[in-house]
Amino acid sequence: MTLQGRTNAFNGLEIDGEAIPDAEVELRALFPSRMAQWREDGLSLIWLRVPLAKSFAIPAAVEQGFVFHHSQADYVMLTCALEPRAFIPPYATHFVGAGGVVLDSRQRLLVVNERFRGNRSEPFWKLPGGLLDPGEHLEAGVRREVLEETGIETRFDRLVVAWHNHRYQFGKSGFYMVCRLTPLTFDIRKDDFEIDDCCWMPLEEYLTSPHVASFNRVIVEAAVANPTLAETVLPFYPDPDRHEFFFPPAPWPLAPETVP
Amino acid sequence: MSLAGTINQYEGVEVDPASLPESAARFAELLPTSLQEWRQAGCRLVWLKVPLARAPLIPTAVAEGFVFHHSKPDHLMMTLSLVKDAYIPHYASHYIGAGGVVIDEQERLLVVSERYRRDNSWPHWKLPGGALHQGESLVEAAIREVREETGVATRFCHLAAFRHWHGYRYGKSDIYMVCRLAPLSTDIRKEDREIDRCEWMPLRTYLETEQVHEFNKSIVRAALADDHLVPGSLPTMSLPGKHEFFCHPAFEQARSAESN
Repeated sequence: MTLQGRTNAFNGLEIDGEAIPDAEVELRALFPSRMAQWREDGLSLIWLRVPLAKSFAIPAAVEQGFVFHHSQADYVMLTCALEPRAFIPPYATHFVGAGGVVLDSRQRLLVVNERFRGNRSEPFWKLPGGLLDPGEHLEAGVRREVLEETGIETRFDRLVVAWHNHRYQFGKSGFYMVCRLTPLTFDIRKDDFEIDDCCWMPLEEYLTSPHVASFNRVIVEAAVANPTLAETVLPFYPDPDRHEFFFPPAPWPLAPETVP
Repeated sequence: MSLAGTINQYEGVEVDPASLPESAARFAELLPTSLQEWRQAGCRLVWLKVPLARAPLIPTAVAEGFVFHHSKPDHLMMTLSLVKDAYIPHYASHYIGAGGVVIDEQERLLVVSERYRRDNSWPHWKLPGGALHQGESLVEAAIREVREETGVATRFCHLAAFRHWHGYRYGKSDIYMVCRLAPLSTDIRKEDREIDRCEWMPLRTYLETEQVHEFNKSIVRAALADDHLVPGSLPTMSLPGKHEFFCHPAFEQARSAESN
């Protein structure tokens, strides 16, 4: 039997790629009667996962009223709401990026001038940083980005600022986490593809430079004044690769007696 | 004849969806010629946005080597690398959720027990909350979710802590933001479909009962700490619907004193 799925807890039917017939004619012959059956069964929502190799199923499904839900490189997930008010859970809504405020013992700030910037005739000094890779922790991602762009190894200290902005890319939103890091090395070896210049700039010079955006000035001021949340280990989460926590610094959370 | 496309600053070509023919046969003629032209022009990556109504063209694109990048209900974005190491930016990687720590004047915490939980033999008390809608601010989402689930109106105080974890829905990551909110009303009118029980529970009971997961206790303790992030004013970011900024309260205080 093909083009069949399993029902979920929300009165939906989930159909995997294996359940799609190998031949387009076979799929097209089955589709209308299956649709009628699903309606008769009172299902609210049909989920159809089409692998890249069976992309012929996409136009066939769209003809039956399916729309796109999300896709990854090798599949497209389509949905068809049989009940008009069926709740369709959304796909990922955000990108998460991190920037590093790296200060050395002489109060010099690690800054970069990106190659892809608005006006190539002037420098535009920013903090090193970038987007997290899939499945990557914030603590690891910010240190990786700083290392890749500048060659500087760092230790994670604290989170300084969380910046949320909408319509960042592909209509999705972004959370940019500014982190205070301590440098462990000092020799700059910049990434030549993305970065035009990289240097240790005296903090005072950065805070007064005309080639710095007000936002970047503010986050550096914030980082110097008051770092906030720290990376925290919670002993009852056994898999540190899967979970990452940012909490106010000690004495909590392991001191319940401080609670009123 | 070929397809229309514009070249972006990263040496990628973005195909104009309006130039896509209706017929798959016509598309199969045009596409190879266009790809040849873009290759010769030194392009590294092709972005092909296929509107839902042009779904019949998708199998042809797959046959030419395109893969899926992302989709929204009305279109599918596909990419083809023209050079071996073309950089393909990731799509949105995260869901963001907000949980509310709402404590009244009698040191009682607003708690819920959800209907859909693994073990129904005992209430599994937790904080009200849920996922941010696309384009919604964290402040709005925390207030909305608490209101929807419990009927209690609140005011946002601060961001207390967050948890970042991987392997959530469709393999994406999730950040759960713990927000301290002050109640503006006390009458509970719970949402009946998702929420099984809702009550004001003495803080001590919550922190001592076995019916609360250790993590849920930890985040409530964290929300009582002095170190946290508050929504900050950011005069240089003049689009409040687009940007949201969180920083240390002392920093925000100093800044607003300065600007007054």
